[in-house]
Amino acid sequence: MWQQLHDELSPLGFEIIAIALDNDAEAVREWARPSDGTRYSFPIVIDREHRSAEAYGFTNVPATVWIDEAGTIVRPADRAMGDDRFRAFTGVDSSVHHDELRAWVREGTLKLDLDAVRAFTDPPSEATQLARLHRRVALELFDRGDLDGAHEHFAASETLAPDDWTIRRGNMPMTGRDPFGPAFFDFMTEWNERGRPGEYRLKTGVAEA
Amino acid sequence: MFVTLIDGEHRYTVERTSTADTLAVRSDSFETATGWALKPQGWCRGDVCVPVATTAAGEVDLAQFAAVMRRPAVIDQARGVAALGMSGHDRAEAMLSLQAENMTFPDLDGNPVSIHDFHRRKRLLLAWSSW
Repeated sequence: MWQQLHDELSPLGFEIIAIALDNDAEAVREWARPSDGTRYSFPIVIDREHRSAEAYGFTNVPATVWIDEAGTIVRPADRAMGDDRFRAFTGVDSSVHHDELRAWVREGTLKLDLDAVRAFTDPPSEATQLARLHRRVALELFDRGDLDGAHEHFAASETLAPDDWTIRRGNMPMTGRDPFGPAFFDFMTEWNERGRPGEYRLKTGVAEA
Repeated sequence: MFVTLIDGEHRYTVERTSTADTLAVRSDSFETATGWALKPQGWCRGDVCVPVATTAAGEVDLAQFAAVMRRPAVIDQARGVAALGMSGHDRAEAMLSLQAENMTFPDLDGNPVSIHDFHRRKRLLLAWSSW
């Protein structure tokens, strides 16, 4: 669906930049190809150190931020699905976000004014900032082949940022844990029981409970 | 002996001094890498100076440097790695300015792509992952 939106809207002055919060191109290669074997026509980049997650407030994926022609953030980080494949799981009607995107690109219509964008922005805690630094140290040690050292700092990052999926789940492939296996389900259960802390505030397309 | 100093998109290799109880690096090596130099008025880079009380001549204690700069740091003394970050306070200020920070990342073929490559266009950043 993102490719379809890109095809539809890019002639109107619109670009998608897909940012993979992954270790390297190899990790994403199978995801970075549409199922029909073609290539996405928008750029796909690798943000190994999660610098975009820090600057733009991504705490889970998939999520989007909108930036206007002047470089102003006009929509803060929010969960956005490409389609409804996971709707039963996420409760997100993906078309709401897509329709709002079309209205913005085609007509310049935005649902949120800048004060509302700020209100839905969720800056990180000091502990989360420290967690990101532990993660960067972990990656350096991982590259050196010091896996014990890497694991120590990955673990520290998870303790400091227990609610951040980009850290809790994002660390799993780097530490020999299956991000679709028991470690993930344990984390998700625990996070749900704690009331889903740190969830995106905007909740576009989520049906009212 | 060298120290890896991680600062945002930068990754510096600086020469370690022999101090046993802290992670410290040679100030000339530190200046070459980061641009920060110790002058009579404090730590300076370009036109920017940050006052500092005292520091040992010839070396930079990385924990002290981070404290002076009011920046969080993770320092692994035994393994010779340090990462300097942005405080939550400063990060909040930057985010609430709503000014999109430019960043450059490699694409799948290793070519650099910057968010501001698409200046004057509407942009959608799509964060996703294999996990």
